[in-house]
Amino acid sequence: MAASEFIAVFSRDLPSLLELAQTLTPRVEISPPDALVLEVTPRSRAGILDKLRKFSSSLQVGGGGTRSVALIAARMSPGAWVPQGKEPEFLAPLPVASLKLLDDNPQLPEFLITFSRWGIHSLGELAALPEKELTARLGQPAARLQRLARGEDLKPFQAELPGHRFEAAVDLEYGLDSLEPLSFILAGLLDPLCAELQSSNLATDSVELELKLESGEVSRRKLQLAFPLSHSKTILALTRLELQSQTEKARITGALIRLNPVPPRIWQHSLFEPLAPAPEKLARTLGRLGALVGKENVGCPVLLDTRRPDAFRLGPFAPAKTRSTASMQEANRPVLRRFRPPFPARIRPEQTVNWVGPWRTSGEWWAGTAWDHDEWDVEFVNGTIYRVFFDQKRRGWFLEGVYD
Amino acid sequence: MRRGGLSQAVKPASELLEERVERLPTGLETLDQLLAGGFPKGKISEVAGVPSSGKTSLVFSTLAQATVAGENAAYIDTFNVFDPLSAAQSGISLPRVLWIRCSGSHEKAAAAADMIARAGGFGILVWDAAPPDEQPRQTGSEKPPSHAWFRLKQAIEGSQSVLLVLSLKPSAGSAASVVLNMNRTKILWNPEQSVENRESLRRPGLFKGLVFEAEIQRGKSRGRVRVHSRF
Repeated sequence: MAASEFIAVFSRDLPSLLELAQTLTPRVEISPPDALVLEVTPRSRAGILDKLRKFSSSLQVGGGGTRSVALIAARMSPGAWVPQGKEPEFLAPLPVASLKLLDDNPQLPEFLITFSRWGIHSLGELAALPEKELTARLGQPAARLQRLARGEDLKPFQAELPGHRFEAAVDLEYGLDSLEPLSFILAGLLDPLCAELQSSNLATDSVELELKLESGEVSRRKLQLAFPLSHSKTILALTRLELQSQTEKARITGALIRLNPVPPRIWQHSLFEPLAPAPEKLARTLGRLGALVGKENVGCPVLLDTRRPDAFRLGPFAPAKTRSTASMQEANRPVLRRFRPPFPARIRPEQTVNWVGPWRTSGEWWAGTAWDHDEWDVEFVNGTIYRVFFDQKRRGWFLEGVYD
Repeated sequence: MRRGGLSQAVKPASELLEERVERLPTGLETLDQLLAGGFPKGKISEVAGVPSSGKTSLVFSTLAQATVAGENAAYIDTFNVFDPLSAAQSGISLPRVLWIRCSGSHEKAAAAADMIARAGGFGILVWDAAPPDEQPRQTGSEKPPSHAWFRLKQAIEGSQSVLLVLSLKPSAGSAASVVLNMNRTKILWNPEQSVENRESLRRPGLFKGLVFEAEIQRGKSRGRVRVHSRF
C-alpha cells in the first residue's frame, strides 16, 4: 500500500477552502488558525494540487511525507514538495522560529530565547543536539520541539467530518387537505433521515417543517423536542400532534423536513435507582399532554431568582439524576395552595379569629413586574388559615392562598 | 373478624396478596405504621379534607420521600394551586416533578392522569382535584367524572406507581384502596401557646403550624393519628 503523503494549504478563506478540500479527499485536518492538511496518496497528489491551484492562485501550498514538514514547506517555501526521507535535509537550514507553525506551546518563546543563548539558530542545529542531555536540561517539551525539528509528527491525523444536513423534501402531484395522507408522506421522509442519524450516532433536538401550500405560501413550523430523539415513529407522533394543533388553510402540495443533529442523550439506568420512563414513551406522553391542556401548561417547575411572590417558570421535563438534600425536618411543613390569580377580598373583623403581620414585601420597581404588598396570615372563623395581602398599588385586599 | 384456633395460624389468601404490595412511605412515622408502610403502589389512595386540614402538606411530604428516593413525580393540578416554592421548601426535588395544569377541568385532569398512569415511569402521580376553597369558582364540572375512577384503577393496577387523589370529600368510591380523612385540630400560633379555643384569645401570635388528624376510613387497618406540621 502506498504511503500517505500530506499537502498543507494556508488560506485566508478557510471555510470555502474546507468545502473544496472535502470534495477532493475525505481526509482533511484543520490546523488552526488558517491552514488545512490533506492526506493524499502519491497517485492522487498531482490532481489535487492542480485543483487547489485553480481554486486560488494566492494559496500557499506545500507538501511532504509528514504533516509537520508539509506545513513548514507551505509557509516557508510555497510550492515546495519534500520527498519522503528528505525531511531533515529540507528543514536543516530553516530558522528555529519556524517551530511556531507547528507548536502552540505557551512556553515556546522561552525555549527560543534559550536556544538562541546556546547558539542554536536553525532547525538542523536543534535536531543535532544530544536528545538525552536536552531532555535532562529542558524537559519533555524541548524533546518534542527537537522531534518537530526533524520533521516528525507528534500526534495522529484527525480528519474533519464533513458537515451534513439532515433534511428531505417531496413535491406532491396533488394537494392534500387531511392529516392522514400527509402523515404517510412524512413517515416516508422521516424513516431514512432517522436511520441516517442513528448510523452517525446522532439524534435530533428539533424538527423543522416547511409545507408548500396551493396558494403559493409556505407554512413553517418548528417543533422543539424536550430531549434528543432518533426514533422515527416517536418523532412522527410528535409532529402529528403539532400539525393537529393548527390546521392549514390551503391544500398542501409539498413538504420538507429538517432535523438538527445533536449528540444523543445517554440514558444510563442504575441498578440501584428507580426506572425512569422510556425516552420515546415519555416524549409521546408529553406531546399528548401538551395537545390536551396546552404546551404552556406542561413542564417542570423552576423557581426564579427573585423574591417576587409566585415567581416561577415551566421548563422542559427531563428526568434528572439530582437528589434532594432536604432532611426529614424539612418535610411536613404547612404548604400554601395558591389562588391564581389572587382573589379580591373584603375582610370583616368579625370573620377573623387570629392574625399576624404585616410583612412588607416589594421589589422590581424598575421593571414591569413591580409589586408592593403587606402580607398577613389570618385565621378565619371557619378554621381556615389564609395568606392575605394588601396591594399598595391597587389599594385593595386579596387572598393569596390557603395554608393546608 | 374474630378468628380462633387453627384459623389464627392460617391467613386468608387475600391477606397474603396484600402483604406483597409495595408501599411508598409518607415520611410521617406514626402514619406510615398505621398504613403498614405507606401508600400502596399500583392502587388509588385518596386524601380528603377541608382547607387547612393538612392534606396538601401530607401529600407534599410523600412527594418529598419519593423524589428524594429518585422517583419521578407527576402533579396533575386541576385548579392550578400547586406552589413550587412550598414544594421546594418541603423537600421535593423539583427537577423530578412534571406539573400539568388543567385550567379547572376535571375531564382534562382525569385524561392526563390516565395518560401518565398508562405511560409508566412515574413513581407517584398526584391528582389534585380539590378546588381552591370550599365555595369553588369552577369552569367545568363540580367533581371528577365517576367513570374516570375505574378507568384509572385499571390503568394503575400492576404498576409500581402510587396514585394519590387530593379532594375536599372522598369521591373515588370503591376504586380507592386507601381513604384518609383529614381533620384540623389545632393551629399553632407561637412556640409557647397553642390557640385551642377560638373564643378565648384574640391577640396576634406567630403562625407556627398546624396539628391535624389523619383518620383511615378505608385501608388495611383503621385508626387515626395526630400529625404536627410546622414551619
